Amino acid sequence: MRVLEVDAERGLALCCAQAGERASVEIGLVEPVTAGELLLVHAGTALGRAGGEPGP
Amino acid sequence: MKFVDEFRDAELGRVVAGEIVAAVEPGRHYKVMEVCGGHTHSIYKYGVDDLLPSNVELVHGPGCPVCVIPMGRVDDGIALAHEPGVIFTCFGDMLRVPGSSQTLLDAKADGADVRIVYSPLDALRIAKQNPEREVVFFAIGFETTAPSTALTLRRARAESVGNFSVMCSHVTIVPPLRALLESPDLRLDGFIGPGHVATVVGARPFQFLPDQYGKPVVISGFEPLDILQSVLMVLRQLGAGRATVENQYARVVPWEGNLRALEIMAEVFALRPHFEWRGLGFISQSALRISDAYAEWDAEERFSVPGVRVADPKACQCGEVLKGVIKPWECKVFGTACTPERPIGTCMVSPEGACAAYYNYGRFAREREVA
Repeated sequence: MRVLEVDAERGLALCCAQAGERASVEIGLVEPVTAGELLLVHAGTALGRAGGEPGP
Repeated sequence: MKFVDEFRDAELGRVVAGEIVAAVEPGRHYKVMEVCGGHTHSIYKYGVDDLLPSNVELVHGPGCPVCVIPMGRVDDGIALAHEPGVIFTCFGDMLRVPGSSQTLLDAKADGADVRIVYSPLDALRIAKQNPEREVVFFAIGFETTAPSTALTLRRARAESVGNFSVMCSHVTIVPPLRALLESPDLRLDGFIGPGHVATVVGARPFQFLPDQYGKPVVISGFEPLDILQSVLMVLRQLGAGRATVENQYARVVPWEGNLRALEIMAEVFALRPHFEWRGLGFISQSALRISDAYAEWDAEERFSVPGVRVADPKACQCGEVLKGVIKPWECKVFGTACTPERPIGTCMVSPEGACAAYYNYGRFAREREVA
């Protein structure tokens, strides 16, 4: 989901999915995030961000 | 959307499929298990298996969270839902999973206050809105979902929400993979690793597959091109006589996982000594309970839970499907007595269940093929 707006104080972000639906997402596991970033969201919680580097 | 559209490119898919054909040895049969139910869903949704040569067989693994919950555990949830004053919350998939005498949906029809939530945080919100009621969240899922439950419990403690508790049925992915590899029923050549679980735990926990069993594993994304490329990477390892952990899903999965998620899970959960898996039986240290530090929010401490072991219906072959021993359409009741509308087994309930995925996307093609 793409981050639209960040509420750092509450640890939440308003995010938008590919189909256009919006949801409030817990970002405690990936902070800090900024608007425009793509997050992997599962059960309302961001687990990671897209665009990482390969491992060893 | 970036990272999605380019992984659904049909032309590129055909190119990778061609490379797969070139990578296989004629006369050799390859069995590759996709561990995660999300992969199973994508394989049938996008027809990935139709692009593979006939000697490359995809075997569906045990990684569908709803599918592995045993019937007795469903009964425990239903018993809690019937407790006076309880609002019982769960993911939508769980509502239609058959218990021994009814489903949570039946319990709701009988008057129990059962509500679907998208996230455990929604359950916590319901608890704050209903301070005079007890709100229980039925937590299921692998390491992908467990961090969300852990964060919610941490919030419940920070905000002193006393009328909220969790019935924890989270499971972990490595122990059932070990159990499958120890089983004489199944000979596997390699694995498509679970991309979303690996986002949390990293790629390292899968190192035992090559190190101890000599099996290649490729952590994979969920788009059709991801899966095709991962199959190719497994086949290339096999062709070269190599076995290692590779990360096809590097755009999302860091090698070390999400350390913050692992830290909070270690704080909120503890390993159960053993847990019953549908079709796989009891597996040691394969599930999570609420840790002593958070026992106040443990529904199994707060309420009396029957905890009775219930055998699966005789007609249901979910166990064999979950172990990859039979294909969904080989089950005696697939598509006849057991359908997504009236499921007998869990594999027909969740969209990630092999039977539901196959029924919804592939059944008619298979019938044509058989005919």
